[in-house]
Amino acid sequence: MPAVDLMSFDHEAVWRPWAVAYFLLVGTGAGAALLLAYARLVRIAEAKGALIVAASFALASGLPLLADLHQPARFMHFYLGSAPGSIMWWGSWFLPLFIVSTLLLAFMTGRRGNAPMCGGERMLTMIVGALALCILGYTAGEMSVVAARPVWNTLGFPVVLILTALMSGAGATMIIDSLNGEKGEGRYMLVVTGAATLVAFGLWMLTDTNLSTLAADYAPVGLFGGFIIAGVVVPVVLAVSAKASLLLRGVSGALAVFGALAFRWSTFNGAQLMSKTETAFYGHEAALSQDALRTLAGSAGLLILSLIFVTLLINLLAVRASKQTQA
Amino acid sequence: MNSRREFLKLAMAGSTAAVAAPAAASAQAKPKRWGMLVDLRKCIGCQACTVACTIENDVPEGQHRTAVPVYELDGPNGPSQAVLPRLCNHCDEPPCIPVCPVNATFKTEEGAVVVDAEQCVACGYCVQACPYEARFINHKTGVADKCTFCVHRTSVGLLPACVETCVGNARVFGDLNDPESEIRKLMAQHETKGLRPEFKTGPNVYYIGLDDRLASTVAVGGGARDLRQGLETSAHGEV
Repeated sequence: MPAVDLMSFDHEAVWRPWAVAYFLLVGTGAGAALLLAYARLVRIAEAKGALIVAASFALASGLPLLADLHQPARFMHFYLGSAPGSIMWWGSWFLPLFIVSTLLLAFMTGRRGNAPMCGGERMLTMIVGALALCILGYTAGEMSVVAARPVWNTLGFPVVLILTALMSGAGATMIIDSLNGEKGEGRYMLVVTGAATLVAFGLWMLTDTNLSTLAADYAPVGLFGGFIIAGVVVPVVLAVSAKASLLLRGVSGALAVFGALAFRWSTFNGAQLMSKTETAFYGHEAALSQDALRTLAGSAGLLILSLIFVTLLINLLAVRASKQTQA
Repeated sequence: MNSRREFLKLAMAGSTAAVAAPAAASAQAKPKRWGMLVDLRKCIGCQACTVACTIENDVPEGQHRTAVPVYELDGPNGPSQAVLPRLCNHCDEPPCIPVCPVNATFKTEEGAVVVDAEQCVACGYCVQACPYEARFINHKTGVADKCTFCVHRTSVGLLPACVETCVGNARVFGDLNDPESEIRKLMAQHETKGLRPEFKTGPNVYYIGLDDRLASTVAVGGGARDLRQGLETSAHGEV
């Protein structure tokens, strides 16, 4: 029989919904960047949709991260010293490099217009791909090394976190490509990473009692309904069946992004509210709490602004390049 | 300086300090290493330590540097009450220090784990890393906060507020490097245990009379938390 708590003390989640938004945005940006690198370097395709997603999601990711710091004005402290033993410190370098390199790549792509890709742009594409790997590695590593959080401190968590980032990157690319009336590059990656996610999550669930407790007792709707069904199974089925339909591709992509959000929401909040010292749960943050809605609205607004900025940057520079060529 | 009684003895002997100075100097040749021993047989769960710490360190309402959860455990003679004062364990291998991206948290020469409030960016990474739930982001200061063994008091020869106020002398504070200190003598006389040995953090808070069921994750339910959350024991809400 368990101990009865006559007097107990609860703790709040210290990483707030802004952290969920950051990990979703930067993960999606990194996923799209890898898709971009693969498409450009292996398949010799332009992959403009993936470039727009990589640059705009990367650009939008910085502010939610700052918002999650309780002392955002002190962000310079990351750069005024060194802490190579901390994965977060490495991330503080990878993130600005990733943002700047993707924006620079968007600038170079727009400026050349319809001309073929030069060696410099090819090199920058490789750098963007490498930085995307660093982003995925640091975000997954930063959380999975925390031994005090058993849901994160597993092999399954970083694997699924990375797979959902790739899936979300492919999904967001499919949305942009559908809006541009193009088939694009994301469908195959979404299907492969979605299937891999199902396998990885299934194995993780079977082997980790902490995850099964979280999924069964505290986040069944988020993990089973939002993530697995709506966020993985449905988008994979739609992507497989949507060979020609741009609408279905767009819907599939949107659901894949939602799946990545649902996974992060459930495992970030859920794990933080699972007590480290007792078999207890520190209350429930409603999915539509004021804080969550503020984060959702703020991140969506930032993302829309970033998308407009990056799209305008590429297109206006391309028009200018075209005029110069004609002249 | 090991307990309130010993501290008072030392204070009363202050007039003979000049005579004792050479002996004290030789005793202090080895650096101090602070530790705390909690004798659970003496703790009555009065929360005086919780209140004293909160007042001494201006800890916001609802947050705690130390607190005393109270449990009911089954025993051979029926249910009995068990208390477990919790605080930062000032570990030898603190998981909170290497994760800090700005080197804001560190160990003092005496072994206390502290936070540089001017350097902390309040990313919360140390809060995640601590297996004892001893850290939090202070709602007033907006930076990481935790027990410091009352470094502002111990550095001027005073006891930590929780030790000073403990009505049953259940908390004993002192130098683990000094074999003549009360904490070392008590540790030699009794079996002591630390919390969460599976994390191999080398905690410097020790307990006399710690029930094995409380040493690691406490299997808990059906009590105050369920009542507070308005939940049935078996029912849970969505995150």
